[in-house]
Amino acid sequence: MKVTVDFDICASTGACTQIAPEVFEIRTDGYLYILQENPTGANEELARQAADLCPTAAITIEE
Amino acid sequence: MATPVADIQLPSIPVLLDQSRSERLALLRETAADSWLARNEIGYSVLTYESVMGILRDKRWHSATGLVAQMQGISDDAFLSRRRVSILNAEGEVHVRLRRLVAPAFSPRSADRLRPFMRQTVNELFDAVAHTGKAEIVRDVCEPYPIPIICELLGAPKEDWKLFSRLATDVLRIFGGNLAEEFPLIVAAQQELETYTEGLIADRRSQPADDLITDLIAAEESGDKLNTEELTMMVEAVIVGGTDTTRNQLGLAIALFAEHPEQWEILRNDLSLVPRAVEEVMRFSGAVSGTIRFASEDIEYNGVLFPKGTFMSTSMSTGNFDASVFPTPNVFDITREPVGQPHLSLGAGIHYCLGASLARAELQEAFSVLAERMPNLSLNGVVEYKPTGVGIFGPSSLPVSFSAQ
Repeated sequence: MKVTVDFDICASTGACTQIAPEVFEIRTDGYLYILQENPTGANEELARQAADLCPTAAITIEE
Repeated sequence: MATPVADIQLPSIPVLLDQSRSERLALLRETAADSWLARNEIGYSVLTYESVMGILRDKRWHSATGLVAQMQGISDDAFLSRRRVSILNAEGEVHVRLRRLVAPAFSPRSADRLRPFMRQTVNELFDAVAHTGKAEIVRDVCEPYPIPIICELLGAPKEDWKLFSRLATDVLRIFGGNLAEEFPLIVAAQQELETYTEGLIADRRSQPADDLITDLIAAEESGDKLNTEELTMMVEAVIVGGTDTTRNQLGLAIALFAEHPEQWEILRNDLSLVPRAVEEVMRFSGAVSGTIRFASEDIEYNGVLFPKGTFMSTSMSTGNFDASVFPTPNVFDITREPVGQPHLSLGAGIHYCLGASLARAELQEAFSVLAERMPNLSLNGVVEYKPTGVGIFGPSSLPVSFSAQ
């Protein structure tokens, strides 16, 4: 699995960091960082949920 | 099998008109200690952090913000037929499309670009009172603060600030709880705003500028664009979401700091705490204490069946005091370590506040300017609060004193 984020669209809402905190992180600069571009195990499903619930649909998952 | 919600014994949360905000919060938090769910006058309320998150993240619960007028008994056809799909209440593909088209304009990067203008705005507003050592800070700073920023963001010229401020105030009366009486005023303001916005859009189509309206006109994805009606709706959504929220949250913040001078001193001595302070203020005393959803189908949650059409309030003001998430929730502490779970005041799920980066930037800039310029902040009279209606809460009058510099 490969996780990508369209940073022109990402509004740093933090929805993904709540769902998959080991995959996504918002740092104190207010910007989103991808911690695991190729999540494995339980984080795969969490990354899918995060992509589904992203308010701006900025996350793409390639299986 | 889930139990139908109507068959369950639940505490109820009465609405008492003479209840103060602190009395109501105390009652809500007492109820939340025993039950995640309660009955209210329109349906039910979820009260704990987990259940508020659970409802807001579940796409089967739809936004009810488009139904505020109907819930207050307005049945005027002309008014209701004007209500179109707005980003505030759209769902599914329609909502995703709108959010994707407008998201770049609300990115942290876009908000950061406005920071110098935010600082300048707070500084100019504060200049008028700085030498006196006294201010009615709601009137002098908080109320006017968001208007120039929203105008700058949209691209409305300075000479329109006053007009804009009036229209924003009147449009927002829809959340004021006195809808029957103010209805004609609200409709007139909405129409005036629409005409005004259409004018701005026409201007920018012929003369693009570095502003949100130009960005929104240009916003395009796979040939998909916002039409004029959608652009007008977005501008109205920006005003609804971006003015009263910010001014009331700033007012609540200054009231809190005036009541907790030791926290103000900690902040003044270490401005790197500003981002944390903003989050703690929003957790401890959020301007938005709840929102409303309705069940788009029969929904089972936590072993309870909520029939289609059920109205559900999600109580941020109790979820933000959930001791299982925030240790010692009753303590206002700007040095609080982040717990990895955000406060609920900006919402959650697909309707999470689009303007969150902008709101945070506005509050952060205001905190750092005011912390430097208002040593020895204290209350200089009685804080008066707006009525606790369905909408946004904050002080209506906040007299403070400080050491003049």
